[in-house]
Amino acid sequence: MAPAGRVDRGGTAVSLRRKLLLVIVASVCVVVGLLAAGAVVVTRRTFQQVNDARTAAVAAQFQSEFARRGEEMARRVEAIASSPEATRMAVDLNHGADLSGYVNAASEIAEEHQLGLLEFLAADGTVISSAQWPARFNYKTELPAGAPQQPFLQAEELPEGWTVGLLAERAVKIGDQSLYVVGGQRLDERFLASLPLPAGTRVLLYRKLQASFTPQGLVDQQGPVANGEKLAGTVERVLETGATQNATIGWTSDAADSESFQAVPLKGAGGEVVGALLLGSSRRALVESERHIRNLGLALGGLGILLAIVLSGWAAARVTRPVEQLAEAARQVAAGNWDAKVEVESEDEVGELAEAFNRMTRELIEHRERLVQAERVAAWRELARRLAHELKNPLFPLQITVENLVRARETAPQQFDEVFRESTQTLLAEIANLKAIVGRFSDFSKMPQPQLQRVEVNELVSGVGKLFEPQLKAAAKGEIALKMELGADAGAIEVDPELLHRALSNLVLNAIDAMTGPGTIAVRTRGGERSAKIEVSDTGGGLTPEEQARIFTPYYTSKQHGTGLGLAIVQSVVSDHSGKITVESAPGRGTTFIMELPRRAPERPATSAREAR
Amino acid sequence: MRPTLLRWLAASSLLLAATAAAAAQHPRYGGTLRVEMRAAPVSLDPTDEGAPLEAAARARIAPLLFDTLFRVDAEGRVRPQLAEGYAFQNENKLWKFPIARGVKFSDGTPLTASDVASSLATANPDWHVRTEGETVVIETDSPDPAMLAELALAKNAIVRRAGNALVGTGPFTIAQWQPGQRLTLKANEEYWRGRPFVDAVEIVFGQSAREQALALDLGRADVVEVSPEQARGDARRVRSSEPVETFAIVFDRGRTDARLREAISLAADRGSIARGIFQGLAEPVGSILPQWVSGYAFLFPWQRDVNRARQLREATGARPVVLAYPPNDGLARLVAERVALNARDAGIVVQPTPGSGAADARIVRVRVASSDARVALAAMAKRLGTALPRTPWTLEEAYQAEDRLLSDFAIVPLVAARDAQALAERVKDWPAAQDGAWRLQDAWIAGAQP
Repeated sequence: MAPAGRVDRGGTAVSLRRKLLLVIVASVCVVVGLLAAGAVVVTRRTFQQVNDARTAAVAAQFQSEFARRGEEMARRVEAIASSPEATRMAVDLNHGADLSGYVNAASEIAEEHQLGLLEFLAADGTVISSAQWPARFNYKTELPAGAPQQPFLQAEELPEGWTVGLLAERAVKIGDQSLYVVGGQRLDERFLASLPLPAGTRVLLYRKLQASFTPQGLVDQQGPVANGEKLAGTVERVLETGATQNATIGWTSDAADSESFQAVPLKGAGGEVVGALLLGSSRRALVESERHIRNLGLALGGLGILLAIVLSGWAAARVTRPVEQLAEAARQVAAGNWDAKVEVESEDEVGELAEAFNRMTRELIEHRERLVQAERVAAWRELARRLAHELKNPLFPLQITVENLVRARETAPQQFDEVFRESTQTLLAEIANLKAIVGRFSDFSKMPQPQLQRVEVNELVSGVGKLFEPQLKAAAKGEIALKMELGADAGAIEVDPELLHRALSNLVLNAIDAMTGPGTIAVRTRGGERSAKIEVSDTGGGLTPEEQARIFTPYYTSKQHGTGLGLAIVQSVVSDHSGKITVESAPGRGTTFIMELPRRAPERPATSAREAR
Repeated sequence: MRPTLLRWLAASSLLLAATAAAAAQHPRYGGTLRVEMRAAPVSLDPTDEGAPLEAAARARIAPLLFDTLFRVDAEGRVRPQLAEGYAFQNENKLWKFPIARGVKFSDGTPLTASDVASSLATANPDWHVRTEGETVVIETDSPDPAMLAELALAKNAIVRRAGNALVGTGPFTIAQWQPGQRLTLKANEEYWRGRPFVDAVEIVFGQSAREQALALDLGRADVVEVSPEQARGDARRVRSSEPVETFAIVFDRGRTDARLREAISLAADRGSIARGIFQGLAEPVGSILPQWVSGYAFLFPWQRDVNRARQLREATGARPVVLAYPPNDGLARLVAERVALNARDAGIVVQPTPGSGAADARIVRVRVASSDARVALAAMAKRLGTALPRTPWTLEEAYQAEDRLLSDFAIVPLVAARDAQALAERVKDWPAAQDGAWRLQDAWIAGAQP
């Protein structure tokens, strides 16, 4: 039986105190966790709002700066287009003169006007002079579509690859020919470095150098972006859709190094996407805030758990101590100590439970006493009935015999002697019968204490069998076979051999009595690690369930003649050996008595149960 | 009276004007000639080769400090200088040169045959040089018919090496030398061919073309180099030489196919390079030696043929060609980029890249070392990485050697560039040398005070 307050589930026992502890700790953890998660969510939402606002501000700032730079480019290109050098070039172009002398003009003029990109083009796109690619003179390039008056973005081919320029275009028309001045600034790391940015943000620029993403096209203020390929997907979506995209990029395994990006498409004069501007915001502040909150939550949670352990231990002790006292008292009651009581210290539910337990034990004791009294009365009644029954049978012949003697003395004195002699014999026989009856009752009351010794079960059983063999063969009701099935594992047990012999004999006699004709009595033995079993079966008429319930009651018998003490003696012997006896039977299917005796007798109590009763 | 007076006054005015004009054209001693150049040599030893730009600078400076046994005059003829004459024997393998008498080093010590022999032996380790009295004897393992022209090369200048100091017999001596930064020369008062007109020459190194032009405009410099991008429309006095530096593509034979090399040669628009990039300070060439040196350069075609180039490209495949050019050499970069653009017209991908690492081809600029075609070809071929087995004996041999050099298109000459200098107004009698050499001992400064 599991101790009070514990639940045994396949060997795992969790005490009530531990359960309470776990519940309280879990509650603290859940509360702290929920608070921390809530704080993280609020922080993240706030950061996102701040980040969105900051990104929008940077985007607006870039647009403003972009427009300002574009206007500046337009002014410079306008100044170049109005310069005598451009006019001279346009005149020579109009006259069909050799323009090779102007090959280096664009470089000089671009440097003078601080332009990174400058080209002088004929109307058909022939490069007269190029600052960004001086060797390209006399080669044709494409003029910006639609002769834009506003600054525009355009992909520009350079010897080292492609770039994107913020350009402005102006035409110088002399005669029939027009000279086009296309100048501006490269969108590169220097352009980005010149943008004022709030702390924690940065701007990346992707120039569409090829149809697909190329890491070389991605730069920030310092130059090419390390691990730029991580932005490939975002950039490609921008190039494909022409719409703004958002992404969060983790640069290292440390989440604090991640950045939130808003990728804005950069479109050329014809609406084509020539690049993307990526506005990045560091997530370090957010991640560190989350970490701080999480660490704080963990610290608070740990502290809470410690406090919960202490407080819940104290509270659980207060709650479970009466319960444990109840459990201990219940164990004592189960062990037979019906006087066990629980001290009632509180008036709450636990106090009521303890009071109920004490009341229950008191009522149990009273009920037991009443039951014992009733049993004792019933036993005496049964004893009286049996005694009356047993004594009435011999007393009746005694009475008849004495009356015959009296009648014979009065009516036939000549035959008195003969009658006297016969009556005397009858009287002696009946008196002997009475003595036997009294002797059996006496024997039952004088059951001795077992004198234990080690006995081989099979040897003892065989002895009983041999004792009854002649009687069985010569039974008047027909031959009764004795079948001995002795198990090799029966082994030895510590018993009083005489008492056990007597009990076994009673069972065999009971079996003989149970059979009204020829049959078989089977005696079996078998053994276990801690006990041995002796079974005695008959092929008699069997017992009803009611008979089985009362069969070990002293002075109860289902036979016409019997004291009802045989099986009571058997049960007494088995009980004195700390064993148990059971019966298996059904009407018409015989009866089997099974004695189970421990191999080693337990420590004998100071007073045997029988003596206690 | 009045007519006589008028005639007198008129005659006097004409006389004064003529006198003033004559005075203005008459050389004057004195003054410091201030020169700026882009190169930044760290050595003045004419035997050092080094980077082409620095070697060219040393070649220009060497005649100011050192003399050679022979020199090339303004017409390109070889003339004796420190040698009084020459004699040769044994099929041009043994040469004897009597040394001029009375020549002194700038430190006052007399020039001896031993000095000459020692200097020549240092510059030419494979020569056997000895003295016989005041005659220097040179023996070579193979006949050297161009010995006199070789002795006129700057690297064969007669130098006496005293520790780190270099002493010569030239018209100037070293007054101050800051390697790579500045060189100050002062006139050698005892120069055996007569003191130069200017008292000193100050050369500032490492100046960009823009810095030089600015210095000239601000009057801080008298002579500056003129880069092609500054040549056109420049109102200043510009003096240019004959083409003295050949720009060529030198292919790695192991990494490129001959047909692809020929295709790139045919695709190259040399005329545009010469007119556009060099602004006329170069000539398109198909040969290593320019026409003025060899006289046969016209036999090497250089005209563009894109269709033929495209056909050759189709026969060889479309493997990209990495074309390297010297870092910090803007002209070479422009040439490389133009070649790449031209090649693209024929479907050939040429990738210009700065550096001297592994590449399929390189842009190489090599100076004409001598006006003697045989000597010049031998020296230039060596600089281009394909040394001739021996110096050609005749011009015809030189032609045949050059034809062989160019036959597999591993060397593709593009243009031959001229040297150009811009002079301040006060610089007079700047010698117009074909080879671009600076013979400053002949120049003088107007208004200079001795």
